[in-house]
Amino acid sequence: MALNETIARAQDLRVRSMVHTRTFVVVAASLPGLAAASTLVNGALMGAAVAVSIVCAAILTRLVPRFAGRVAQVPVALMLNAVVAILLGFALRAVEPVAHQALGLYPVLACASGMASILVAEMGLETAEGERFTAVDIVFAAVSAVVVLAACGCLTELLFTGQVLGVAAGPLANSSIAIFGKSSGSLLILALVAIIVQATERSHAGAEDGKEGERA
Amino acid sequence: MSFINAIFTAALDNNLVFTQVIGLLSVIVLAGRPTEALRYAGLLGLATATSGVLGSALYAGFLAPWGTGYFAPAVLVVLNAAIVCGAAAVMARGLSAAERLEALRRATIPAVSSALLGVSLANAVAADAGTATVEGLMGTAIGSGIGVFLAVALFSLIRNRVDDTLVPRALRGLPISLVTASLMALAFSGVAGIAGGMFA
Repeated sequence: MALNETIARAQDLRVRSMVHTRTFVVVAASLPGLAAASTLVNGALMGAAVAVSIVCAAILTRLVPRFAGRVAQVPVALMLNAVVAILLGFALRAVEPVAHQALGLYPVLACASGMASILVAEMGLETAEGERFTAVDIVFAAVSAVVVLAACGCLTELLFTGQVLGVAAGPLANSSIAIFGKSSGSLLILALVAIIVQATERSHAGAEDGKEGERA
Repeated sequence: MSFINAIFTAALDNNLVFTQVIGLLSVIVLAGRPTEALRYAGLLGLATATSGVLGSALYAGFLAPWGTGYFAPAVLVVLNAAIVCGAAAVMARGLSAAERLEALRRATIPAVSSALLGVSLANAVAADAGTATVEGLMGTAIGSGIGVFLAVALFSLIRNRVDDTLVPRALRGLPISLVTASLMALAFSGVAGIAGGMFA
């Protein structure tokens, strides 16, 4: 039993150290909309919708504990989060009816999941105050959702169809790479983005450690 | 035969997690607890299948006839949370009060997974289109549950076998998880059109 508890604690620590990083925030913000980010336009639209849903989820998770009891907090926050997702779906249909038709269920699903759902889950997991996502994290997640999904959409469109916004990209136009038309290709592009963010995060942390060392 | 065909198609050809990238984030987080991965895989799989069955019944029986189909996601997420909490409470039977509370808290991650919402909404869309049969919808729900179970169990198994010390430093952590997911998605796309087609 003691061993089980030790293992469970080690696993908790591993998950916590993975979740509270900028890389996780970027991945959590972008992953739900990834399948729909097949072109630059679709990626940018999905990114904008997801960004709004993340900001709304952050506001909701601060407001819900004020009027809902302990047991009802997560279901109430989930329902309100889904209502925001529905409204964003309607907004997308009003702004870009063709893209909305092409994206199908994905806008609502992407807005109700990912970083927004992690914020809701945080309420149920009873995380310590210092471990909660801060306002800076929320803004970072919202901005990264737009940037990463637009970039992933652009790269997917470029590598799969050989053109971006109807402009052919030289030799790529004649040799499309089939894997980028599937989810595995999109995941590889997101892995590349995660590598870049993680490397930046580590170098930043290294520089901070160096400064603290100099001060000491 | 269409029931079995729907099960195989949903579990392998159109796997929610790896083919449609729905609920992958919760799979990555749950895979961080390898000793409990099978239990969580079972919980998420069972909840997905139940959500698909009950969600499509709720949609076809109440929401669509009352003209409130557009509100389905908000109703279905609450239903999904109730299903996961109910299943977690059943699975936590026999544990001490503190352990049961902890198990219920940890069930929040499966409860917010978009895999549950994905299957019930997809069934709702199929019901709206008028092309779906009852056995097709049930098969899709059960197949999606099996697919999600396979996704969590296999991903956790493979991720646990990857020795981080042998992985290049730049890829350690989330990037290698995403590359693993990408390769698994490729493996699932290898059976696309074959598994479901066997019973067509």
